[in-house]
Amino acid sequence: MRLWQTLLREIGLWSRKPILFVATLALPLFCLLFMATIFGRGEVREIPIGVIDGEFSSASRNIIRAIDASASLCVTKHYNNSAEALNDIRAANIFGYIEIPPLHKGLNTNGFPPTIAYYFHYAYMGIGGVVDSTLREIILTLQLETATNQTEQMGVEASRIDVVLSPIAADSLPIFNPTLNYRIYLSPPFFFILLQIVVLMVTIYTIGYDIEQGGGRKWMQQTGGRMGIAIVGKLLPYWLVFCAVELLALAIFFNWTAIPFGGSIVKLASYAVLLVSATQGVALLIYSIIPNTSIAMSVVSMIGSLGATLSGVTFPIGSLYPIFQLFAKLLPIRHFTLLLQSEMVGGVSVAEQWPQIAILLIYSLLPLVLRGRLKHIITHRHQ
Amino acid sequence: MKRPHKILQFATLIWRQELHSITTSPSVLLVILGGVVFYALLYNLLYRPNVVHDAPIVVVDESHSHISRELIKRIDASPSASISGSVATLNDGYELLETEQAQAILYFPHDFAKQIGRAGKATLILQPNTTSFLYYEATAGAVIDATLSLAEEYRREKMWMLPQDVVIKLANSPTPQLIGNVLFNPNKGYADYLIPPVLILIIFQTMTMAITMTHSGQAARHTTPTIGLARSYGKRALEVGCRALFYTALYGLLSLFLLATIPQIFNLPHTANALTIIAFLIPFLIATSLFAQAFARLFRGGEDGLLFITFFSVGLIFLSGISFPLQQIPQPWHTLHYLLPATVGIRGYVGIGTMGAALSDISPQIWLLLVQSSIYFLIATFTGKRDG
Repeated sequence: MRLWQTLLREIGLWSRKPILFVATLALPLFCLLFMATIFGRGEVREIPIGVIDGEFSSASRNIIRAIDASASLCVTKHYNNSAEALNDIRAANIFGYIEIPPLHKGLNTNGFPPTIAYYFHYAYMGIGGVVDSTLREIILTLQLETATNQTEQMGVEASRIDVVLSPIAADSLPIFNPTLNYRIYLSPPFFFILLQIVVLMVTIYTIGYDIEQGGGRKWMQQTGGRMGIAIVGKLLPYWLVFCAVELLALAIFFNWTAIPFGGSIVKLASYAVLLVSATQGVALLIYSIIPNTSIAMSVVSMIGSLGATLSGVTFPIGSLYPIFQLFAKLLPIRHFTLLLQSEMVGGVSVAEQWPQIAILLIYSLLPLVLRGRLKHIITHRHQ
Repeated sequence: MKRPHKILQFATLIWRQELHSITTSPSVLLVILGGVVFYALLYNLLYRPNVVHDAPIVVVDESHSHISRELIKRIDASPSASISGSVATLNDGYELLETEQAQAILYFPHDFAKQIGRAGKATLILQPNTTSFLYYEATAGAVIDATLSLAEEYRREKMWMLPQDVVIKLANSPTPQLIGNVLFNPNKGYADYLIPPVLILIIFQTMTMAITMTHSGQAARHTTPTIGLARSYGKRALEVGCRALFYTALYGLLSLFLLATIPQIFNLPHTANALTIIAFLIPFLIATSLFAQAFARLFRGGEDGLLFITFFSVGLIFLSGISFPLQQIPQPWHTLHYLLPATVGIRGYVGIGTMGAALSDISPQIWLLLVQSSIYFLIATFTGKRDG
């Protein structure tokens, strides 16, 4: 009954402070819409590149045709010299260029110019990587094809010359996301990264606003002084909304937008709801240390944003300095990301995931440890 | 003479009040100084390693051959990857992959080395994990480079497969040289790529937070000076303009630390001269300060605005188009890119700061910032309750 009254009081707060409800429901939905759609189909395709063609020979035409035939790149412009091409790169009109020198400038090598130089840049890192790998692959394939054609005319079958020119080869069979699709790579983890920022901010805000408006004592009176009921009654409505959006996100990502998923969706859903309670626990911890709404919100905004780096999705945690590897372990989002990735790739047994699960549970139970201090803050501040 | 004097008096009062509201509010001070200094240092230290090193690869070697051992040695010697161990079966390897103890499996079939002496191709199989693109590039790059270098050495041993005239032709036709040149970020460093945009984001986010905290709704009405000038949109416009100038000047000073000192300390790409940076920075700071004032009109209390600012900072990197091509971002988001000072500013600053672009190369961004400034100036002036 006391829990029910506390819940109703919190929902009443939403009607007095509609922006709180908007932030609770609309921001997570916006995160979902943003991360589900920002990368379109997710494949980097038809990146514009330029060509400096010294000869207009059949070899250079073949190179340009092969580039245009690739899904990732297309030749959009021809240039007379490097300076012109570089200017267009700086203006972001092209993302790389290839320089095919005249054949007469050097020894003809199987119909190819002696050197082929290509230029790409890593100021836009992901795009630069695609330009580099695609151009290298196209040119190497064409070189091999040209050599094969010529030796075939001398009576040697193509497979034989292929073995001689490449006696050792590596077949790459990427696991999970072989096309390096950005939607598969970034959308699910970054939805949860954005969501945990919202959870941190909303949790601090609702507690801080209530206390600073002088409602702390009434809140405690309603619960008969029982902190367990006070915290659960306060945070449960938010937990339910956040969890509902998470479940919607899992359905959208792994069912409707067909992001590959090899694990157990029930397990992942459990970890996702645990992430919300663990993040609420962290917010309570910070508010109990810094019981000032503005300052606490500024601090959690920094911690939440760090989750983008320390989740390890973009820059591997193993390559950070040890102190930051340790700090990453303090963030619930890092542990959830590990669980998410292991479930997406193929599913790991709970026995192997228990360290991450245990840490999320510990954070979820933090309010129990902090209840004395929180009670003091709730009943004595702004009264 | 009287009116310019009053305007100057009003402007001075606004600037003094801004300084007062910043210096007397610990939370705003924390956001501006703490945010700028702490974020700038922290993110630089975080990404200081710059490149991925020693990405762990686990080996399943069924060939137990001299060639496989040589390849393993070469891969282990590469800076980007390391051999973390070997296991008996592929299934053992998959387990290490799933628990992230390894980032790739290198598999040598039992007949791998035997193919060298026969008419076949010795093919190893690399199974890299793709949940981290940087690990994928590190492991795949190390294995491909090592394989190509060893293949080059073993090419001679395969010549017996070809007739003599073909061998002579091949010998007289050296393999064409393929030269890939990386521009602007020669180390392919993650910090060199990401930190310049992050510096712009720090300016945008901390300024928007500070202005929202001090000027949303009631807070703004309490602090607006009422002397001298008529209570009108003209006064409001002056107030918005003065405040924009104040924050432009304040962040101009902070930018000395962010965009001049930090790149020097951390050896970031820093190709623009001071004049080019200033010419870019002025429209960017004005656009940001006017955006923040327009944004603050949406909220009644300072903390209300905070709820809506922070969560999106990460998304702004995606919207800027530096990680995923802007041309392929769906139209509604593409349009949003042009409406925000941060996203346009990131592209402009990466252009001049990292790529050595001239001001004329980023003129579209400068014009966009000026158009944004006009729009947000009008919104900040004509929306919300007028003072008095």
